[in-house]
This record gives sequence, C-alpha cells and structure tokens, in this order.
Amino acid sequence: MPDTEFSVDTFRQELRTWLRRELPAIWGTPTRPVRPREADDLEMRRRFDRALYAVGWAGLSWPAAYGGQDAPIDCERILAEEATEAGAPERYNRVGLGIVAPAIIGFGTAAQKDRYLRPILNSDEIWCQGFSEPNAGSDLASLSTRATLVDGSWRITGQKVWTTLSAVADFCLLLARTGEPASGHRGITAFIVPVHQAGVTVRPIRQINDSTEFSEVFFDSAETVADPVIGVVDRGWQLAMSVLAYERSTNLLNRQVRLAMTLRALRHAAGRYRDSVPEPLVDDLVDIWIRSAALQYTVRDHLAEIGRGESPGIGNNATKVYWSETYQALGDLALEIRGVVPPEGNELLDDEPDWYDFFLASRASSIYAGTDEIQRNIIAERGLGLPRR
Amino acid sequence: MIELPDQTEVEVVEALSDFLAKEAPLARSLQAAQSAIGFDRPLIEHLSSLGFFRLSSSSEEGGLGLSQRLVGACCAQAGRVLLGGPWFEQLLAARLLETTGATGLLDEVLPGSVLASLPLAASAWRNPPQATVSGGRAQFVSGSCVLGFADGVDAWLVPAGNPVTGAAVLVRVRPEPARARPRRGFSLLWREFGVQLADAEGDVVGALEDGRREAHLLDVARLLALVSVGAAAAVLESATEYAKLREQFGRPIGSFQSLQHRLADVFIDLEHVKSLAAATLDPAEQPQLRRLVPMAKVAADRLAVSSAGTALQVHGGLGFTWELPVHHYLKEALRRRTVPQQTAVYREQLREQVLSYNL
Repeated sequence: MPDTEFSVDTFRQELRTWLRRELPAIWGTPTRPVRPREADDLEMRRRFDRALYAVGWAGLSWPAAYGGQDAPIDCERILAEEATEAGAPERYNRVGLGIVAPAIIGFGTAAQKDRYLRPILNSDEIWCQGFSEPNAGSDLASLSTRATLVDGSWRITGQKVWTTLSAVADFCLLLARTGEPASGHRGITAFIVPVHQAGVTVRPIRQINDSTEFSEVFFDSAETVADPVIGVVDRGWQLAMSVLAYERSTNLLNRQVRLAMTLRALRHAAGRYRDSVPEPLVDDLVDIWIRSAALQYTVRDHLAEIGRGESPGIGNNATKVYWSETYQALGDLALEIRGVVPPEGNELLDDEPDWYDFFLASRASSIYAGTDEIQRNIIAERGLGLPRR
Repeated sequence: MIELPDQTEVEVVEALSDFLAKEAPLARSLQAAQSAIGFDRPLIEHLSSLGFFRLSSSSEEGGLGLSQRLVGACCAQAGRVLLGGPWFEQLLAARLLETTGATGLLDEVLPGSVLASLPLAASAWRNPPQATVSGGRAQFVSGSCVLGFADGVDAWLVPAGNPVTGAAVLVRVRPEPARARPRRGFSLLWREFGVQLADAEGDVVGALEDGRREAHLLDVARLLALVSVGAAAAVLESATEYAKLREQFGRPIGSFQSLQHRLADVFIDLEHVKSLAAATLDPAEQPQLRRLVPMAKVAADRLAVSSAGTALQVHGGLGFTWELPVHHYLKEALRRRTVPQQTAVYREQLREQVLSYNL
C-alpha cells in the first residue's frame, strides 16, 4: 500500500511514471514486447496484477474496507487508458474482478466479503464463471446444472461451457438449479465451487483461433465450499443480471480502450504504406475510426452516469453491440490491409497484435456476454417498450 | 438525452422541451412556412426572450453562462420538433458576433431585437463575395450567397473579401427582398434564397480571419450534428409508438423480431452518435475539433437519414403519405447533409487524417 493518500489530481501522472518503471520488466512495452504465448502469459499477467495491488491501484473504485481506494469511477477510466497505452496486459483475474467481486459486494455476507475479496484483488485466487451451458446459452434461465443438499451440504452435478480461465481458476461462481426443473429464472442459485477437486473436470475447447481460452467444465457431485450460497437460494437470477450489467460497463471500458489502441496500430501501418492501400479500404478505416471515437465518448458518458449513482442501463446493451460490430469490422479490415501492403509492411502489421488471431478472436464477441441478438431483444423490449414476442 | 454536467442544465432542457412541444409543434412550423416570410417571427422572438440565444454567453455579455454542451442539448430539442424559422441562423450569428467582438450588434441579437440571417454554406465563408471597404462601410463589387431566410429578418450578415488583399470582414446588409430569389430545395421548412449582392452596401461588423471562418464552419457543423441527433431520437420514438399500436396478423407489428431489431439498431446508433456529437462541445476536446467535428457530422447525418428511413419503413404505406410527418424528417436530414458542405467532403478530410498517425 502506498504511504501517501490517494489523489485524483495527481493520479494520472503517478500512474504513468509507475507504468514506465514497472511494466517493461514484467510485460514489455508496445514497441518492445517481451511476452510469450499462452502458458507463461498468465503467470506474467498475475505478476502485473500483484504489482498493481502492491501500489494500491488494483481496486481503485472499490470500497476501502475491501482493499480499494474509494476513488471516483473516472479513475478506472484513467487506469484503463494509461495501462493500455503503455501496453499493459488485460487483468488476469478479470472474471474475479468484473463479475465475482461485484456479486459478493452486492449480495454476499460479511464473512464472504472478508474471505474472498482481498485474494481476488491481489490475484492470489483466480476465479471463473459458470453460467452458460450447452443447452442454456442465450436462454440462460433454462440452465439445468443441479445443486442438491446432501447431508446438509450442497453438491453440484451438470455441465458448463465457454468457461473462461477455468483451467487455471481456484473457484467458480456457478449458477445452478435449486428449484423444480421447469422453475426458470425463479429456481436458480449462485454458488461458490472450488475447481481443484475430484468432482470437477475441465476440458479445454479448441477454438477457431487455436486458443483454448474457453473450456467445458463437468461437475459430478462436486463439493461446494462451506457457506457456498451468495445471496438467497432460488434468487440467483437477480444476482446474475445485476453483475452482468455491472460487468458490461466496466468491461466495455477496457474493451473500448484496447480497441482504440489496436486501431492506432492499424492506422500507423496503413498510413506508412498509403500508396498500396486502395481507397475503399481507407473509407472503411474512416468508418471504424468514427465508431471508435463514438465508443470512447459513449463509455465516458456512461461512466459519468455511474459516477452520479445512476445506471447506464440499456445504454450498456447498446454499447456491447456497437463495440462487437466495430471490433469485428476492425479485424476484418486489418486482414484486408495486410493483404495489400508490401512484405515489409506485413512485418509491421504482424508485430502487434497478431491480426489473424485478432480477427478470429473477434468473432466470439458477438456471441459471448449475451449474443448481439439477445442484446437487441433487450433493447427492443426494455429500452423501447415494444411488446414481447 | 444529452449527458449534462448539472441539474440546472437538465432543467433548462426540460423547460425548452416543454415550450417547444406546446408552442412549436411541427404542424405549426409547417403552417408558418407557408406564410409570406416563411416563418413564425413572434415565436423566434419569444425564444429570444427566454434566453435561447444567450445560453452560453458570458454574463458580461448579458448571457446565462451555461455550458456549450447545454447549447448542443437545446439544438437537439429543436431538432426533435424540426423547429422552423431562422433560429439556427440567429444562434450562429450570436456565436459568431461573440468571437468577432462586435458587441454593438451582439447586444441586439442576443435578446432578439434584431433577427439575423447568415449564409450557412462553407463556400460563402471560404470564397466570400467581394467588397471594397472604407470608413466602416462595405460596397459589394460582385457575388452572391444563399440565405435560408432572406425575408422577415432585420439583418443579413454576410462575409466579404477584399478583392486586393483577400482579407475578409463580416458585413451587416439591410435586407432588400428584391435581391432575393427563392430556390428549389429539399426542405419545406427552410426556404432557400439566392441573394445577389453586387452593388449592395453594408456596415462592417468585424474582421474575419481565416481561422475564425473555419472555426465558425466547425461550429455550424457540430450544432447541426446535434440537431440531427434530436431529430433521430424523435423519429425513433414515433416509429416505436406506431409499432406498438399498429396490428397485423392479430398482433402489434412491434412484437415481430425483424422490426424490433431494426428499431434496436437505430437506438444503438443514436446512443453512440449522441455522445460523439456532444463531445465536440466539451472544452477539453477543443484541440481535436478538426477531427471530431467531421466525425460527428458524418455520423449524425448518416443517423438522421437512416433513422428516418427506418421510421418510414416501419410506418408502412402510411409512412409514404403526406398524412404523417416522417417524410419531413427524411427531407430535413437530406438538407442538413449538404450543410455547411456535403458530408462527403468531411469524409474526404477524414481520409487524409486517418492515415496520418505515427506511433
């Protein structure tokens, strides 16, 4: 923890200085990356998370009682901007920070807060999130993973899918059915389940980009922790909706900043070999540039609303769609531009990021965190008040 | 709808919204457009008396000292009802006069005791009509310009270029209806007049350096972007309400997913374009206006045309008739797309800028 009191005014400059000093050894810089692929990558991210924790900025807008700074939400924007600008990695424990911590802060008991929040903040304990199932994706409320009371403790049986970080996670925040099979959103409960146990099998999924970021996870009468229910039994749906909404706004901030930085790299490459880039591609680049700027100011406006204690609500659903479409268009365009610049330009383009992987990975963005079609349904029904189908 | 810094400003926008809904519904603007001068002059004077043209002016200038963002939010409200008359010209005249330090005329424009019209086209400011200037008087040698409202206003504010030095000044010309000839345009609310300036005389109001003229054009473009944002919000609302009421196959058409998603797409676009357009008015973003304003204008023009197009489709056959106001939203969007210059020109500027980034 820093000796001095946190100050919003000096934060950006202090952060910038700190990043310049700490980051290169851990992770490299945009022009001098030292990062390896997958396995080591995670350990390096954890080191960065811990360094951030040590200096006191891991949970800027968190309550001080749980290791945060009680700083205005806008500081999270400054952190995202500066860290991304410096080439810092995504936070390793992003599910813990983005989903689990808000669930525990909002719905957990005092004992659960004491037990789980600090290890999330310093990445001592990594979390994954068990929501989606093979037959419950868009229709999440139809999930069928079962939780039953055996001798006074809850046991889990079923299957989850598209579970990010489950291969390395210590705990899973899991939604399971505790009501009748057809109880829909009324019979769902949120549990804390340890991942390292005999009853849990994690099987990596080979994705179209050859990464195994998502896994499928099988629960065979898996044990839960003592005091495993977050919130109230059969009321997990409200918790899930609330934390997903929160996650959308914090996650979109990071995603927007990251997209803007990637776009700059592409503009740099396209500008350097401008004679090779046909006008239609320049037009596409302009369109994406406009959308990226619109995203930036929209996220800023949404954060201002959160700062006032309001919720962007449906605005976040809109931004999720706008972002994923922009992300995919950017990936597509990068491959087009890569195809027209001379070989030395390809080297420039391949430097950072790997555009082929960037494009392929972007295809997941309109599917996860609620498909874009589900977002449009929500906008139509709750934002515009159109009648249900 | 536009994110505002404090509650006072939110209340100002709500008050304006109520006023416009009551006093200036589209039907009334359309009716006024049929009159001899083409607009409802008492309404514009009423708006002036409410302080519409001096919201962001400093208190020394008799203004209310509110934020630029608020001005944008008010433009969006005017866009919602497709407010007719030279309110936009009057607003831009006030803003231009403030920057040229023409306090005398400004004192008359801010409260609306003088209604001014000025050309909005970029060409008029970049290649102004030529005039010789002496002793505070300007004598136009040649040239013409296009004014939205030539009749029923008290002053034409026209840029004039010195034929020898090229230096430009802003000139106040006394309106002479004989010089103005109506032109055919898209809009039924905003009449276009070609104004012949040869031999006209006027008073020099202030100097217009190149930078000031370009800044003025950026101001026109960004406020028009906000007008478009308001118009898109209004047209989305009306299409949504219609989709809830209109029934086919025994159910409201708004329950069909194909239609829901079309309307949701307008909502998504609007949510983002409004933030981009409002950002052009933020003090912190002023160094970036050369990039931001073209972006906002391109995005807002596209949104205004596409939202009106979607609304027209949602209204079905009725949308294609004169019975509903949807077509006015489309026509006004097409007009704004040409002001102060065609959107494509902004796209062209952005093409150059997008390739000028060095890591």
